[in-house]
Amino acid sequence: MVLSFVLLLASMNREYVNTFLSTKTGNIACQEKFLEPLKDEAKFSIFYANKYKWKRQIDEAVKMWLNGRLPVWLNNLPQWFTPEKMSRIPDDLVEDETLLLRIWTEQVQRILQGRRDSFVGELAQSGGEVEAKEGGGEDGKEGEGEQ
Amino acid sequence: MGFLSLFAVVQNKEKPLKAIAQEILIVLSLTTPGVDVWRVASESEQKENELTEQRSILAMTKTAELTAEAIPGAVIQLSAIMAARGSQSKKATLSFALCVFTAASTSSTLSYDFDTGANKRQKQPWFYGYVSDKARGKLQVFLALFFLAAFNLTTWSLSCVLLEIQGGITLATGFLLIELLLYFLYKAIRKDLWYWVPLYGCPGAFMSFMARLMSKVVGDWTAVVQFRSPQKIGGAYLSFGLGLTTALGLNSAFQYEKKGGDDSEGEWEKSAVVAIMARVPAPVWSSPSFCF
Repeated sequence: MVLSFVLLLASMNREYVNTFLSTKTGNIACQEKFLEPLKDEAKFSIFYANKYKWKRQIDEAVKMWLNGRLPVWLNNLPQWFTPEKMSRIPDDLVEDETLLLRIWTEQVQRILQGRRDSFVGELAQSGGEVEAKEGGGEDGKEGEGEQ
Repeated sequence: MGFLSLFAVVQNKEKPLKAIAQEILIVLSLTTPGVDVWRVASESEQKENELTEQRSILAMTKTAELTAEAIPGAVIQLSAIMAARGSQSKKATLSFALCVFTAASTSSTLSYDFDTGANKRQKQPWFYGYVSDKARGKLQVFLALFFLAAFNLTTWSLSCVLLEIQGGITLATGFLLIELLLYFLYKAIRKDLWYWVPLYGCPGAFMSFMARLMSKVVGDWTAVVQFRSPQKIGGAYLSFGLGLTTALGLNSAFQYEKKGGDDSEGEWEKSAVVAIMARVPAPVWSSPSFCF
């Protein structure tokens, strides 16, 4: 067993040996991840963690960052800012009620858009299948010609 | 199956009843591991009304398998082998070996998959990336993980069975319970009892308790190095536990050899107490500062 552990430490990338000796707690790891100078998307992962792990210590910092960045995200709608992400934002952290309303509206709109797209997609697919059935063998030839 | 059903309910608690029933049906049809792997492989994104990502659910499924199947299975089989005192069939030994290797395979795959996931390495580069990018390095790490898990499970099983033989079921259970209690004490002192999953109130407390309990048992018994994460056991505590497992195994074996099954002097109780006391410093040395 000792040999296996030594082999593991010897064959792994050296810079990760410290993770086997780390005394960091879950709370500190969670808070550090937010406080590091990372991109918004990475910082946003704080809302995926249990709030007891960070709220008491860095609540104000999170609130400031969120209220500062929220208008930018809502105006630019970056790709990562999905309805799923929007649903993770705790309402009590958003100070501006109009922003909160915009989040809800945007969330609903994007969900409806998603459903509409998938419905249209399904319709197009079923329409294509019907045409294929009706067209029979001729369709195959047409297809080849188009290509 | 109970654990898996519980996970299914918790993960999908915000979904309609039909969806929850569907997930429970997957559990009851014994296809959960396959479905979880498929969901991770197809990179299905976390949905709005799901508690956590699919990879974490897969890890929970594997942890539940190890806790409820592999570990008790290994102990029961080894107990039967030891009770047979050399007259056991080869099939029994083979069955025990297969049980250990299956558990080791689950444990090593769990750690390996998490570390080599591109998404994980990108999001947490300080933690994920210990597996080398070269083929030889990958193989070495995987084999080391595999044998570490296999030997750890064998050592723990053997220690518990020897404790049970010499001191009875009370001593063996007492040892395990006190060991777990010390771990919870350590987490409580460091104010780290809550699990990272955003679940609150009574369900959150229960989930945290179960997650802490299972990760501790699996981390100790099958050396899942993924659980060195600060959100699980923690690196120092896990490594310390691995060292103590070796000491415990050696201690149990020497005591058994020395006494030859005779417990007239109560040496076994003493040795169990020593093993438990050895765990006590863990919270102290693993916690240079209690405040955060």
